[in-house]
This record gives sequence, structure tokens and C-alpha cells, in this order.
Amino acid sequence: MTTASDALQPPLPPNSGSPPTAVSASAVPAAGVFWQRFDEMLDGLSDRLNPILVKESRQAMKSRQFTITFTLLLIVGWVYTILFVLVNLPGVFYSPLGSIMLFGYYLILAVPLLIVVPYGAFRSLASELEDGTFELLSITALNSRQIILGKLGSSVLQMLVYYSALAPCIAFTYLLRGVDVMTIFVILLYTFYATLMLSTISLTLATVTRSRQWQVLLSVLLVVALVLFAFFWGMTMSSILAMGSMMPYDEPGWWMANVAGSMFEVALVILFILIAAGQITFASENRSTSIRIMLGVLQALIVGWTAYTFLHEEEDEWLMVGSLWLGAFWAVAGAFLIGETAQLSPRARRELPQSLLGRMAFTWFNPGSGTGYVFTILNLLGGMGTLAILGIAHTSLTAGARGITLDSWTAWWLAIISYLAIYLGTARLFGVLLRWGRVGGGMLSVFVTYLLLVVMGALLPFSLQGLMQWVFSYGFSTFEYSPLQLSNWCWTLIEIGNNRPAATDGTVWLLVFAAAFVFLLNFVFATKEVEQTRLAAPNRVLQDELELHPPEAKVVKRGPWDEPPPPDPNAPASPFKPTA
Amino acid sequence: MVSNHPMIELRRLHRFFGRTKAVNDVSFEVPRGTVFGYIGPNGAGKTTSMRILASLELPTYGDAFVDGFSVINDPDRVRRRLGFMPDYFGTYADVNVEEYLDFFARSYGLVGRDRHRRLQYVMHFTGLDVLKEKPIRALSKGMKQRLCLGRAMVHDPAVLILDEPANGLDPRARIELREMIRELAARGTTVLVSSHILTELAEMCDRVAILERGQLLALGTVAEIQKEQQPRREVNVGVMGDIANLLNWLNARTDIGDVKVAGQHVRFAHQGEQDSEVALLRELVQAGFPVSEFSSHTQSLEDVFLAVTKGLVQ
Repeated sequence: MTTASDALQPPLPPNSGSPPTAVSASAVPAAGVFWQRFDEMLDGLSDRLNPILVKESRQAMKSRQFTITFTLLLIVGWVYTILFVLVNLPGVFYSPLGSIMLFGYYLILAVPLLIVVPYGAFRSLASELEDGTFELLSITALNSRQIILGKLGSSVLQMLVYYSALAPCIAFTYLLRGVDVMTIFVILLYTFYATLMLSTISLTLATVTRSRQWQVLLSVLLVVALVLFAFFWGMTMSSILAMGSMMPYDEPGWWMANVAGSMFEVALVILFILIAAGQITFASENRSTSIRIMLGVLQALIVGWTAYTFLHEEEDEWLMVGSLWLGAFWAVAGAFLIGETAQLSPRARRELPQSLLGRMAFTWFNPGSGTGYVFTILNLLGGMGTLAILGIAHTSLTAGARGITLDSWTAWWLAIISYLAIYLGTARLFGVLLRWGRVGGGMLSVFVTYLLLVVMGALLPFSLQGLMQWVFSYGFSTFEYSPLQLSNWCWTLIEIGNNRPAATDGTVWLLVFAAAFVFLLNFVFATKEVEQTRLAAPNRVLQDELELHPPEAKVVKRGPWDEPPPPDPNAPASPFKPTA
Repeated sequence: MVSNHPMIELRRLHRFFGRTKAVNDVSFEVPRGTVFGYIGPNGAGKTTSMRILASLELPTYGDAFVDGFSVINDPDRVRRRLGFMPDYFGTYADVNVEEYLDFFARSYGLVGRDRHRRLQYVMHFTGLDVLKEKPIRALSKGMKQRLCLGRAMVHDPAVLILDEPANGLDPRARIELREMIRELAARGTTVLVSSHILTELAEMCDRVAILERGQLLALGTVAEIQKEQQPRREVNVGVMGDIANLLNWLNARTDIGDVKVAGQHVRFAHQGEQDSEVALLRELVQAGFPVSEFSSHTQSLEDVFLAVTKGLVQ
């Protein structure tokens, strides 16, 4: 064995050893040289891959879990094929049994794809966090996004391996007839999307806590959720198979719905990757801006597809559905944004915008609960405003042909924005108070406060009115909306949506007034975050940057020989250059 | 380009966990190419401050710098220059030695032939080249320690932080590890090493810091701390014949105190350096005392550690 003292004898300086592949070509036969070069080429290609993907693939190929799952998949696939053919003989020669057989293969694939792969992704990251290997990874040159992407890439690779294992069987179902190529493709693609989304969510869940107990609880909940999802997804896929040739492949609406679905899938996957990466990023980094940009992209998708559907279908209800989605989206996203810590690290401050215009536009992308609140409300205003302008313009152009009036539209949008501004703003102010008192004010406490406010805001007036009605009227025969329900967002929105008096009796303007007050109060408390200015990078950082990226050397003229030679007037004209 | 910053600098570093002050106002610098020992009882704050230096934790107050870069504001630049060997293995299942090191080499951005060369070098240096195909789970503790050292130095960092690297190793493996650390320092790597085995640290460290309850109690070379802790050296003199004259002679001197008699031996505290002891011996002989034995006691690092620390825990 070589020891340190041996190592000292022939001191092998760094980067001086011969490469392991440095075998003289003459000593190796021609075929050997070919494979050696091929191996070098593959090794070079692997340098371009994410190191986590390379490591996870090596681990997976040797792991018991993958070996068992893959072997079982193959065995069950073969056994199912043989049994299916035997049971259905001789009908298999003339009956279109392809769709039934495909469903069987789908079920065989669903277990590894919808349960094993996402759970494997969760365990892969959770065990890194539990065992301390994540700490070793986090101090390498890999950033948190690369770590999450590597894990996700490994899940995708496993998916492809499982797909390829059953690919011949699936091709066989097409030969049996009863199922068309498009349906096979749709089922496989939708399941791929589902697995990708589940794996990303599982990875995000793995970053939620580092406590072993919570990880155990989370993993149990995840398995239950995955099994339930696999069941319902199986039912959906079976209904697609049952529809078979009835699937609307020739309708543009179906294709547009798929394009919309794919765009949302991609955007949500990116959002979850950013959230998971943010969770494991070093505390002094800016974890928020990229997530906020992605939230903006998702809002644009919701608004864009709502507008498209509204204009295409020409039904006002689409605007209502779109605005409800938008409200729900910001109600959830805002709950996390208002819990962010307001402290900007010097590192994050090095990247702040400098110009007045830049600061006005981009300050809201900076980390902080105040900027998060304003970002949420401004986005909501922008999104709702776009839908409102579209709805109002369309209603005006079509002379208000439909049942919902201009007033009720305005009331609907204003009510949603106002409720969010009030509830998010109040929860955020509560968080600010908690931080001042140094008794919490973190993301979890603000989220719980917000949740309590939203639930109690609806339940309390509802219960109070019910109690009053029962005490004074001895019954609920006239249980109707009253001004007492102003904080009850659910009932008020139903009233406005149904164009009842709450839409026109000034209730909404009370909400708007309250929302404006809460917004202004929050805006004042957010000034500290807005006041933050850019910090210059320290000299040591600038020096390092210069070493890493040296400026291009300028040619200094020291004599006439550094000048380009003057053109020779007596030289013959080049046939390739145009002459004057 | 070599910077003129200290390779490691802790500037008023604090780290609190609730009411526990794991690191409480610790400041020191470690120059380039030195081996710096980090000593303290369990819970002294060694691991916490090392984790802050490795950009795994944020300090509550203060800052730490590696080659002039703040671990708070420029962790990515710190990580490029730093290799960290924690007090746990952190290994993966179903991976062999070469694959493990290869993964970390890739993670540090080494590609192509550079990666292969560096892997070869690290495996050769740590003596793992003959075990490269062996699964990690089959390695002995000593070999796993070597592997972890290999992982920490795979990207040729300028600074190595080793948290209890000799923990659980047999004497031979310890000696080999010590040689490796000295060799790394000789090649210009700055090493910050913590250990409970103080004799080893005394042999390999250029400077040491002693911590207890999160506070820095002593800092400097072992000799400097010894001198600080024991300004007077304890001298033992054996004489033949009557000892009373010697006692009178000693008591008359101002640089000598705490004179105790034990049989034919006299023990006393002497103010001064080693050269003044030589002078004292000469004077004793010139005064006609038949000196049969003359020895002075120097504190070992263990004595210094015991003298400096109070054995308090938090």
C-alpha cells in the first residue's frame, strides 16, 4: 500500500501525473485504440453533464432498489404479455384488444413512474440532508440549482429507462389494434408530465425540513399522496383509453388546451425547482428574485390563456374563472412572500438596481416581506386590470349582451384585489410586530397568521350572524347576506358574482377604502426595504474577478513595425477585391 | 497571483444558539502555509467556528475570511479556495473510492485530463490508489479518513480545514496522517486542524489557539503559550552532602522562589530563560556545591491546555 511517506519519496506535483488513458497506441491493437478513443470521447461528453446526474446514475445502476424495480418491471411485463395472449386466444388474432392490453402495461408502468421515481427523488435529497453529504456538496462549486436539476435529471433518466423497458410491449399493443398511435403517445406523455411534476414536488418537499422525525412523517404522507394520485391518474388514463377514437385530436381547442397545459407544466416545474433550490441556498444569497420572476411568468400565463379562451369562446364566465384562478394563485404565493425576512445581505445588495427607473421597477423583486406584499398587490392589479380592460372593452363592444353588467364586473375584480390586500397586509403587519418584539415573525408564523385571518374572517361573521338570527328570530328562514359579512370574502364574492345588491350597494367601496388604508400602511413600513442601495463589491472581489476574467490585452504601438503595412500603389490589383 | 491577506481570519466571530454562546468574540489570523492547531474541550466552539469558515453556517455577529473573502458575502469564492474535512465521513452507498473522488472532482469543476491527473495524484498521495475499485462501505476507518482527506484536497485548495482528522485512528495511521498534513503545509497549503490528541498537534502545528466555552483563551506558538502560562521555570537540583547551605544560598537570591526540599533534592521556581539556567548552574558549581543533578521542567501542550482551560462546559 502506498503511504504518505511513499508519497513523499517521488513527489508527484499536482497536475503532473500521466493521464490514466495514456497507453501508447502502438501497444494496443487497432480495435483497442478505437474503443479507447470512444471511451475518451464518452468521458469528455460526461464532463458536460451535471456531476450529480453522473453520480446518481452510477449509484442507481448498482443500487438494490433500481435492480429490483427494473427486474420486477420486466418480469411482470413479460408474464402479463404471455398470460394476456394465452387467456385471449384465439381472439387475439382477430379482436382489437390493444387498448385493454395497453391499460395493463400502463398499470405496470404506473407503479415505478408515479410512485417509485418521485419517492426515490424525495429520498435521494432527504438522505443527503440527513447524512450530512449535502453539506459536502454545498461547499463544492455546484450551486443549489445544479444540485436540484441533477436530482431531477436522474429521475428523468430512470423514467426513460422504465419506458424503454416496456417499449416493445407497448409497440405490440399497437399491432393488436384497438388503440391508435396518438392515444399511446398521449398516455405516455401525460404520465411523463405527471412523473416530472411529482418528482419536482417531491424534491421541494425534501427541502422543507432537515429534522429526521419530520422527514419520516413527510415520507409517509408523500407515499400515501403518491398512491392516491396514481389511482386517480389511472382512472383518467383509463377514460382516455375508453374514449379511444373519440378523442378530439382533430379539434384545435384540444391542441390549444394541451399547449396551455404544457406551458403551465414547464412553468410550475421551473417554479418548484427554484423554490427547492432557494430552500437549500446559503442564507446570505438572494433566493427570492428568481422565484418572483417565475411567479410573474405564471401570472402572464394565467392572464394570457384566460384572455385567449375568453376571446375564443366568447363567454364572460371565462373571465370570472380566470380572475378567480389569479386571485387564488396570488393568495397562495403572497402568503409566502409576506413572510420573507426583510434583511438584505451585503451580497444581495451588490446586485440592486441603481438608476431611478430601475429601482422603481425592480425594487419589488428584491427579498423582503414589504417588497413581497407590494409585488403581490401590484401584480394582482396588473393581472386583474388586464382582464378588466378586456372584459369591459368586450362588453362595451357587444353592447352588454350578456347578463353581467359593467358595475358587477368592476365590483368583482375590486373585491378580489381588496380582500387580498387586506388579509395579506394585515398578516404582514402582524409579522412586522412579531419581529419588533423578537418573538417570531418568520415565514411559518406569518403564514399561520394569514391562514387564521382568512378562515376566521369568513367563519366568525357567519357564525355571529347565525347566532344572532337564532337568538332573535328563532330560525334561519331569512338567513341572508348583511353588512356584517363584509369580512366574509367567500359569501361577499358569491353575492357579487351573482350580481346581487352587494355588487352595487357600496359594499365594495368600503372594501376598497379598507384595502387602500392597509396597503398604504404596509407601504410606509416597507420603506426601509425600498431605501436599500447598491453596495460596491470589495476590492478583493474586484481583484479576484480580474484574475478570473482578465481584460483582453491591448496592442501598444512601440514602433512603425507595429503599424499595418501601407498599401503598395504599384502592386497589381487583386482579382478578388473590387477596384476603385 | 498571491494575495497579501492572511489565509484565514476570524474577526470578532460570534455564534449563538439560543442562549448558548457557541463562539463568543473569537479573533485570530492564520498566515499562508502554516499548520494551525485548534484546541479545546468538547463544546468549546471549535467545530462551529470551522463550519462558519467552511461557509456552512452564518455567524451571529462578526465575520470570517478566507484569503480575504468574507464567508458571509462571498461564500462561492471561499469555497473555491477551501477544502473541508468534517468530523463525519459523509460517504455514499453503492460507490467505490474512485467514483467518489471523481464525483467531487467533477463537482469542483475539474474536467477532462485535469480531473484524471488530479484524481491520480490525490489517490497516490492518500495511498488509496490500490483501493480505487473498492466499495466505500468496505473501507476501514483509517482508509475512510484518508478518503475524506482526499475529497477535501481534490480541487487543490489553498486552505484545508480538518475537524478531528485523527479521531479513532490507530497510531500508525495517525503518524501517516501527520506526515500528510506536514507535507501539504510544505507545499504551501494552509491547514487549520482540530484534535484532542495534543501531543500530535504540538508536533505538527506552527501555532495553536485554545478555546473554551466559545472564548479564545490562548493564541500563539506552543512555546509562546508555555512562556505566557509559566513565566517561571521549575528547577530541580540534587546535591551531595549538607543541603542547608544550598538553601541559604538560594533564599538569598531574588530570582528564585518557592523553594521546597525533598530529600537531597531542592525544587524551586526560577525566573528566567534557559540561558539563565545555564548561568545558575555555573554559579552553583562555582559556589562549591556538589551538584549531582540539575533539571528544569518545561510544560507540555497538555500541561498548558490543563492550565489554560478550567474544564467548564456549556
